[in-house]
Amino acid sequence: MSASGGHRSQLSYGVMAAALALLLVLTKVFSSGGDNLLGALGFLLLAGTLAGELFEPLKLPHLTAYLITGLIAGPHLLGLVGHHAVEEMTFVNSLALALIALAGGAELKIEVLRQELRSISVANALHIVLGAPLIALVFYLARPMIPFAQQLTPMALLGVALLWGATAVSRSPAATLALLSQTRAKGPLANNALAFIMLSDAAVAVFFSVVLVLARPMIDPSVELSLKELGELGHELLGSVAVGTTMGLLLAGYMRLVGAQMQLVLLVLGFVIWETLRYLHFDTLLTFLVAGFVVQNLSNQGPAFLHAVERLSSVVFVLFFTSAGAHLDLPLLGKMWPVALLLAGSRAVIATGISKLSSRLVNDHPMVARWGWTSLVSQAGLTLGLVIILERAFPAFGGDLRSLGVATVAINEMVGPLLFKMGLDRAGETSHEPEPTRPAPEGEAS
Amino acid sequence: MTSLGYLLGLLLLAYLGTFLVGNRAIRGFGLSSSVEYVVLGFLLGPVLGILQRDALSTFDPLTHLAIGWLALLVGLDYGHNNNIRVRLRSGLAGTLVALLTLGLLVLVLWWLLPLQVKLDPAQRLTLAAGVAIACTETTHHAVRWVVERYKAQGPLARLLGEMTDVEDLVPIVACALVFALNPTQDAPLPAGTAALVSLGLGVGIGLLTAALLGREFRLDESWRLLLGASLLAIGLSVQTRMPPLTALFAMGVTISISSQHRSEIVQMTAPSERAVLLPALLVAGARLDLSSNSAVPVIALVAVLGRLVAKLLCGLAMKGLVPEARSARPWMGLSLVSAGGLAMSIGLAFHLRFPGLIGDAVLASAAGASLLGEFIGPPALRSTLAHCGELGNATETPLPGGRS
Repeated sequence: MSASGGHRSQLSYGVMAAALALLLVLTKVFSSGGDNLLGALGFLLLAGTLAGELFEPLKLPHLTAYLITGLIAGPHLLGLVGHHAVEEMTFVNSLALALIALAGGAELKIEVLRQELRSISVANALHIVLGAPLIALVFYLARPMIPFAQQLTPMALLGVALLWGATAVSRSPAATLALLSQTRAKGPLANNALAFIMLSDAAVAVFFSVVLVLARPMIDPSVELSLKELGELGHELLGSVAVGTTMGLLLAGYMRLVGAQMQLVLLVLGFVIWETLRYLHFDTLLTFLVAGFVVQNLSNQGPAFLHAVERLSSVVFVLFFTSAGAHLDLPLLGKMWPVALLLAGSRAVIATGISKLSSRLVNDHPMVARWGWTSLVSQAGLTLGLVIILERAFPAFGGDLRSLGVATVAINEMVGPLLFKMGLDRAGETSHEPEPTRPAPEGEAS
Repeated sequence: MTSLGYLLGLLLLAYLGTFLVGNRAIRGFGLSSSVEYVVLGFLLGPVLGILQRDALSTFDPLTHLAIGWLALLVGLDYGHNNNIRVRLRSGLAGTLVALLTLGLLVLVLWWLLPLQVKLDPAQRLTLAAGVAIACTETTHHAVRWVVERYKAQGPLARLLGEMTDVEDLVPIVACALVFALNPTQDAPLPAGTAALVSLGLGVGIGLLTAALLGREFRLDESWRLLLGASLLAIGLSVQTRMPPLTALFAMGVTISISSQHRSEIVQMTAPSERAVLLPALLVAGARLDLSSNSAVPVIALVAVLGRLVAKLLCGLAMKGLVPEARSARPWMGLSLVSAGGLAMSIGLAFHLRFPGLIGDAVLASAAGASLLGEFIGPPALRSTLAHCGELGNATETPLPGGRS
């Protein structure tokens, strides 16, 4: 992603603004209903890129520009991208998540991890042990504002609240990585945020599964406590690490022996291998995270690998976040905003408090202690995935719970990147180097 | 076979394609027109039943994308041969040869079609024109393949290289006209204006893209802009029931003319050509259906033979009128019968837009022309250039099909 807004002239911004307006008109005239997948993808890619550049002088993250572009063009506002097209675009998600996990793993260098291990372990433990119960408590107390919660018995409500707490401590690896990629931020805050959020993904996956097993009998008294699911989870996680390690070694070997057409290799990984592993019940994010980590730390191919991932990501992230913006359910948010705002706000406050406490306990770098909390607000795909699991597990109220989850994620998705960008800027870690201007090297452009 | 399996196969083929041709130099792997991938698709599809037509239709958006992207690449490099601007007279010669081939084929098919199938005049014209359009091009890949492999150098080699680079305009514009004259019931535009709108769309989005590419060439941003603009143009073309070929070709030509980064863009996108072409050819082969109507193989045979005759006549005309071709043998027209990517793209575009007899016949004719062209075109061209004394130190590498 370009980080070179400072190099653009006013004329360039004028051209881009005019182009964006023309694009809107063109798409509005020709695209009836906006349900043409290719047209929608093209529009979002082009409009997102332009909006990202136009937002640069305002010091807003590109990610926010992409979300807003999708939101405005989406089915609830201008309708340039229709419901059907938005649903069909979910195929981009697996590729985007695969790239995010690969890049996330490859960004984690052993030496950085060693430096940050104490900090991120304590922070993760505190968010799970303190943060989740506190958020659950807020949910429990907000009962009068949540229609479906009023029908639940106190014990069932406690179970649902615990599940809500477990879901709420999930973060957004996608937003974190996209923002770090755009700003090319380097420094203690960037390192700590990346390491914490990537590892918290694995921690939250385990924690969520444990809470789900414990909460099920509380919500449905006819169900008995079963440890079988925990055993399955253990197998899933260990298997994912093993597959990820193998995949990473194969990737490193391929890069060393062949080294060409990494974009196509990444497409195969993102579409085919991702879906296959998902079908086989592996934790795909963890698998790809481990693969990226292995390439970076067990071979000398790390920098080239990261470069290849970032080049493909520059296209995929725009589509991923603009389609996420188009996916935001505005009417639902309009209906649920008071309770969603309460839950999102209390989550942010609790996360900030725990971040400060954790930093004090482990004596974090001053920039991490001061601005570390800004990386904890974003939520996106992972949280939505957890909410969908809840919807399936509890059909009686799962739909309502999912709606509430989507509304809360919508707020966090919009506010989180803004806060993190502000944190990185204030910590002085964002880069001002321009994007490379040379043409593609041979064989790398596809 | 699942959708994932198909996708993996297509991506692997794209991967293979990028290794067969690196950058703009033809390394000499595979046949000159890549028709072997059409044959492979035909074997995996209709013959063995591994690639099923219904499942392939899941990938229709990808097929549209491939057709459009190939047309964009043709447009970006249009009027340039090895990065040198094509001479006006070569351009005119190429355009006239294409027009002559197209006109002759339309006449022959219009006259012979009633002997095989009963069609109303509009359908008859669409079928005759569609088949003729798919059989018009001479693929510049084959000419480059021979020229580079046999180190040919001389006025005739240059002329043929330039002609085959320029003549693509004729089938692409004709394709837009045929699509425009056959509006679907739900087409949002009247028949007369659709072709103009399609061209205008390409030009408009091309100008927009060129303006956005700006003064400084930024690699990742350029990819995003070019890909986004292409997807938008393809999507809007499909929406207006027009061929993505035309809009994307117009877009490519417009960017080529109006952007100061033409050479960087061509260099950036060139490696993607084979990566897109080979899966598209495989899909085209798998979509071939010679048994849907008994007239399909007959029409394809007539088209292929008609194409041979038309190209022979073009060769004779060139020998008489173009100084560079004076010393060539009378049958030099056979050097122009190689067909490939563009013919199959047009075949696919018709197949998607006119399901049934018309689509099947156009695609089968394109495949037939590519297959026969592969056996006749490169050896005839090599022989013609050798006769004119334009071959350099020939390598011992055998010609396609085992010929030496």
